[in-house]
Amino acid sequence: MTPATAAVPVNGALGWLASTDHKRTAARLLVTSFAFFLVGGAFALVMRSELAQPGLQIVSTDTYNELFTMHGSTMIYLVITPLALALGVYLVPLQVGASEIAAPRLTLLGYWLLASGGLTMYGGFLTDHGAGRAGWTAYYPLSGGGATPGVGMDMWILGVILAVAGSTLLAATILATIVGLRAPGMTMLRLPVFTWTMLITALMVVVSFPVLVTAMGLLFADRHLGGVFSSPGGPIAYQHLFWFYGHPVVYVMFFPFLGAVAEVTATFSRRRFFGYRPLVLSLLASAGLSMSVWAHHMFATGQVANEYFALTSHALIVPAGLEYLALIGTMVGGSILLRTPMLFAVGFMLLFLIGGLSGVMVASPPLDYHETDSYFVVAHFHYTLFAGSLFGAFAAVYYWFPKWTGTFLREGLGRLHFALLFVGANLTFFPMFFLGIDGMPRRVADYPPDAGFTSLNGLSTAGAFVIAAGIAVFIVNVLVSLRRRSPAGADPWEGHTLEWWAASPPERHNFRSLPPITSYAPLLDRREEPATRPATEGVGAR
Amino acid sequence: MRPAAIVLVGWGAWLAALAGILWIWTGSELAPVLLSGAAAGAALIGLYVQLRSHGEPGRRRVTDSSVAVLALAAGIALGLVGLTAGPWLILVGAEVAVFGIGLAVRELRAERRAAMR
Repeated sequence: MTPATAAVPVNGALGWLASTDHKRTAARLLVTSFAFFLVGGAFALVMRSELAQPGLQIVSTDTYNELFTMHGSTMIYLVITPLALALGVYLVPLQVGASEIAAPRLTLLGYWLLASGGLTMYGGFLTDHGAGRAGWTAYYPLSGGGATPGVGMDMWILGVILAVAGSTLLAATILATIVGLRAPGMTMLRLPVFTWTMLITALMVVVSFPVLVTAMGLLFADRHLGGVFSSPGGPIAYQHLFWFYGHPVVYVMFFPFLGAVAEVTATFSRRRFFGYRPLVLSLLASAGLSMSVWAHHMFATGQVANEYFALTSHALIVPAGLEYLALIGTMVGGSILLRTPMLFAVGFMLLFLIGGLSGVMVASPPLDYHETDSYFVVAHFHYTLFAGSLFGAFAAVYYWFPKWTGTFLREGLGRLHFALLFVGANLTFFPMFFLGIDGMPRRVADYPPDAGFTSLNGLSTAGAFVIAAGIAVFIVNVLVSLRRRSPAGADPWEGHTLEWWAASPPERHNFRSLPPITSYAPLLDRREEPATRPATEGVGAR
Repeated sequence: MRPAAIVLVGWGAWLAALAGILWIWTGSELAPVLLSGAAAGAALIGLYVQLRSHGEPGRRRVTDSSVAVLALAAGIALGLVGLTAGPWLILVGAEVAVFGIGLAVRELRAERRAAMR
């Protein structure tokens, strides 16, 4: 095993903050993104409370603009993307049998840039004009110096640059780890499904995120110097640059959780993953397609090749269907154990399906013309990002928590958490489909009392508070489980992949030895043929 | 060709094919340029993976902690926020970043010395 060299040893809190251990970096990232999630969620509760009835009761329209901007920005830039990358930073080195992540300093730099980006974005609240308030998309000319003056909007732009640059560094080190630090025997077609999803996620990040950094730099320049996006065609050019990041990021916030759900499904179905190779192919195909659909967000502008982007958007159904088939095929014939991680995995499959099917509708230009900028779109992307990705994230947390901490989360509280979140998510977001179809526009603080929106908005607001109760149960669960520990051991679920070979929590350099790697499920291989497969000491020393 | 490089170059080729169709389909240039750029980026990463030296995986010396990175990140963030707060903060950020780079050089030299022992 490679010994660590503390070139300039640092102890105490500073040592923890400066630690280059990928597991600590991932832990910081998880905690930071969850803290931002709580703040972004609190903003959502305020917005839902405001919308429970017609009229302005709680906040002004300006404050509402800041709230929805910061809610969306927080969840996209500071919560779900970092959460997905945190899973990769922690688990990819373990799953490929590496003792470290590639370029640990860059990983650490990525985390700190991301965290400082969040603080910069939030620093806007302390300025005269308040925080950014042009939406998380910051469409031009709304985000220009004339329409949205003030330092707060500038700080939002700079915060996005820092956060997205940080995410790019994190993804680059994950990619380098997969490409360069695999243990002997860990060929590309023996990578676990989660690692494959992280590979394509990292690829998408490194080729698309720099475009947003560039777009934000240009927007900042336009606000102060002018002349960048103000020419004819400038606003459309901005939208192209933004959505070239903005749609791939949707998949960046999906694939890692799909991978986590796949691992959970195989483990809790007590059988080998169904259709591994077709799944890998479908992941690569859908990652490519998802890079080429961005302008379906711009159908209503009339300035893009609608036919092409509608075609590629609909083509995504094929690999997505294969991915679902693989998940369901894994469960069919399996001996399913419905523990909390599996409940969240099944919840992910059901709810993401609603998000995906409503996505098919808005991928069709004639339907999109009607639904664009309405609550239908809000419902659609919350079904994909909240009801989909977040359920996948909680499946991952309940599944890998014993590995991270050496202790289980409480099963009873986990089930209560799932039930509240499942009911809350549907109660909050399903009525929004009908609100959208009936014509309620998004990003409004108020609506006419006679518009017929009040009852559905009331339901939606009630659902938001059910979600909040579910999150509170999760926090209690974590605190109780860490305080009164229920020791988990190295492989409490009978997992299939290499991280379950390491101690819980893993040592500084992850492994003392590795089992032979003959497939993507080496621990399952070992269980099936225990007598013929001795462990090989030291093969993980890279 | 190395399997990892095949995956990356293959994925780049898939993007290039999609970009090719977009070039034919659309009258504007920005959209296909963006997609072509992504395809080229993926292919270049694949090429790098193929061409980089691959000796037997040796022992790596890795640091346990890096205050240099903290200083560098703080410097970059302060310098960037200085674009709104004023040149004084840009200068402070630059100083902190230079300090961080100096620390990083010190850390890397210490690592190299340790590796030679």
